[in-house]
Amino acid sequence: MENRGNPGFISGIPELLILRLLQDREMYGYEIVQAIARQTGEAVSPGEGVIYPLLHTLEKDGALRSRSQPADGRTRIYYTLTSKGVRRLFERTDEWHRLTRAVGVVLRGPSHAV
Amino acid sequence: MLFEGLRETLLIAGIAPRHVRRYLRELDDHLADLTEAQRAAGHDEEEAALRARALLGGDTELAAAMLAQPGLKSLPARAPWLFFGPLPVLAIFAGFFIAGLPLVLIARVHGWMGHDHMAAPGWFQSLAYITALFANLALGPGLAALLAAAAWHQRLDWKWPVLAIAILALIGMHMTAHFPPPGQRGGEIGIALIGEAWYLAPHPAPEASILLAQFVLTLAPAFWLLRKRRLRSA
Repeated sequence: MENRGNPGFISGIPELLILRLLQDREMYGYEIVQAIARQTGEAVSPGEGVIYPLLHTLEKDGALRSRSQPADGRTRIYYTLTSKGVRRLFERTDEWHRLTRAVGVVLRGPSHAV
Repeated sequence: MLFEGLRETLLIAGIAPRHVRRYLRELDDHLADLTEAQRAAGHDEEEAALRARALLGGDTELAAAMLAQPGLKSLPARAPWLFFGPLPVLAIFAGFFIAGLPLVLIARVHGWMGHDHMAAPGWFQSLAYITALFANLALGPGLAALLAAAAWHQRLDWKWPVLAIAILALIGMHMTAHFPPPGQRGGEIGIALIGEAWYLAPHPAPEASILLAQFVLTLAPAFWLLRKRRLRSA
């Protein structure tokens, strides 16, 4: 039976954004945080340092792959989306559209409900 | 040292050391990027560093983000009963088996199994003697050292590793790979995983001194761990 619960509705937003950004190109943590803030007009701005545990978990789940690359005297860790990550992105995107449609119906009021 | 408190918090909470190391490394890099951005925005060195640290988030916030991901905890932290229970026991048996297997295969192929060990050539006698010595003196103590090191690096409760090491030492007292030194009579080529209780025998068995050494060496990491812990809390 399909699980129709969505406990990660709000907490799942950073994951969805990370997966979507990494679909275009590989990025490191700082770039991801800046890109999220810039592209959402700072409506979504995850804490600067708190994004990494989520990246580690996504990598552990096989959704991301990482590689170290020396740059500017430091070694940056770049993340890339895997094929499993692409599937996860599609699932999360579908879930997001389903939820926003459902919430939209409620917000428009009872006269618009089907 | 920057993030030292965060490191301790995460390790004590059971986050795997490799994730802790990488997290701190990434935070370090992130902080450097933030500082650079603040400098570029016109702040002086000191102000840029302060602003960057504030933007990165406090230790409590950074720790909470990591602790919200239970999948990043290490196996010894999630299931100490497994890591310090059946796994070391299986590992010691597997270690003896793996160390002895090539010798058994060679002896079987050449038909030396069950015969006086002098029937085998000198090179085999030397190889078997060294392997037996390694299995007795290195496997148990080595495994005990690994358990103690894992417990120390992950700031785990001392009771689990000490219990596991005590069990290993007890098993070791009843488990010996025996092969006489090359050229010495009185041995037979064979394999037995559990030996007699040598300390109950009326006359000390020839390998009693090796077993005693194995027992002491296996227990040593437990004492090392307890001492490190005492020094740390002092």
